[in-house]
Amino acid sequence: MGEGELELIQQALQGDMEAWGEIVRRYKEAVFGVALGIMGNAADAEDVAQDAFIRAYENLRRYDLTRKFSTWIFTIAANICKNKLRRERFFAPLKDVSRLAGAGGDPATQVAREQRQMLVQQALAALDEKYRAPLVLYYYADLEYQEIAQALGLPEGTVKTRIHRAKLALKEWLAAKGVKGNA
Amino acid sequence: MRESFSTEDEISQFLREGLSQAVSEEQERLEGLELRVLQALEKRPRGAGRWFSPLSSLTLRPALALATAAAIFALGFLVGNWIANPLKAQGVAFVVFEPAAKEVALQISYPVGKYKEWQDIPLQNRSGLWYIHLELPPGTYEYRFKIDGAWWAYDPAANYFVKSVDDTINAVREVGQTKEKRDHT
Repeated sequence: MGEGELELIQQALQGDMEAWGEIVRRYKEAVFGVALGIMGNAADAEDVAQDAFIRAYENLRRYDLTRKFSTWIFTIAANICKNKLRRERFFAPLKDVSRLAGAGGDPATQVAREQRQMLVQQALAALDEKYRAPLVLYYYADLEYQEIAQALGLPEGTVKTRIHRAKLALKEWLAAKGVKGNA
Repeated sequence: MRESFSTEDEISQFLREGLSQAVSEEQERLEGLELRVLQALEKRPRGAGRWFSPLSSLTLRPALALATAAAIFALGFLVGNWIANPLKAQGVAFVVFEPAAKEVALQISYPVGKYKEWQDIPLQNRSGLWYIHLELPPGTYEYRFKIDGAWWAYDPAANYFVKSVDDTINAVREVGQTKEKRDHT
């Protein structure tokens, strides 16, 4: 748990909204990253991140202080993504890809960065939704198999299988695109 | 040179770097997210919680904790009446038989607009029978018990059970509903 985080959560539990604001500030990028990986576009990821912090606050009394807060908030974000995707039943890859460009700096570096970002989003979009969430939670959010199982409401064995298949699918997709390791 | 992504590290690096870069490109979108979250929390309608205000204030205004404790204590007298004649009692009773438990609390949600607030309420103990009797307006209430620090939601008196946002199970009581919804899930 980060420095002073437990105190912030306890203060938030006592109604200190500024303390909760600090928690949001610390975790918003990570939660947004998880949501972006699963949802595939920034607008939805932003909605998910905002909703996750609201719902986490509403349920804060139920948060087990011995658990990693990051795991808990990622679990909530993943659940919101799952429900949102279930509702929408479609996935619009690169819906917001135009916003990924324009970071400035050296043009060659920028092109390489944009290519990497687009490649990651395209690769994730190419995966079935049921593989995408476990992959993002495992490799990006650093959750354990058991934590992912809890977050997605799946047996741990299913999570392992899906991550394994996701990796294979990802490798095949990248190979088909002619992408080399450490590209 | 490697022909493809072949190791765990490479896949991990690929996803981390790609998503991290995408996140860093969206800083503008994340700017002020904490303010939007706080504004949304503060805008939540409070009217629906009026009937439960002593309990809801415990969550957000700990300064009123003593007053709330007094209210709960007073409720204990009502519970005494209910214990004397539970079948004729009005309202909703939450009961757990845990003779070995040292501390049992009820954690119950109540609606505030489209949101929910959660409240911890300590249960009274009589010879291992832990109980509380609440006068609840019609509505749907998620709840579970905390028995010596461990959560327990499988209350046989529940109407049905639901999975919570963090994938835990909650029991549900429907108050003032004409139709029982047992074994809903």
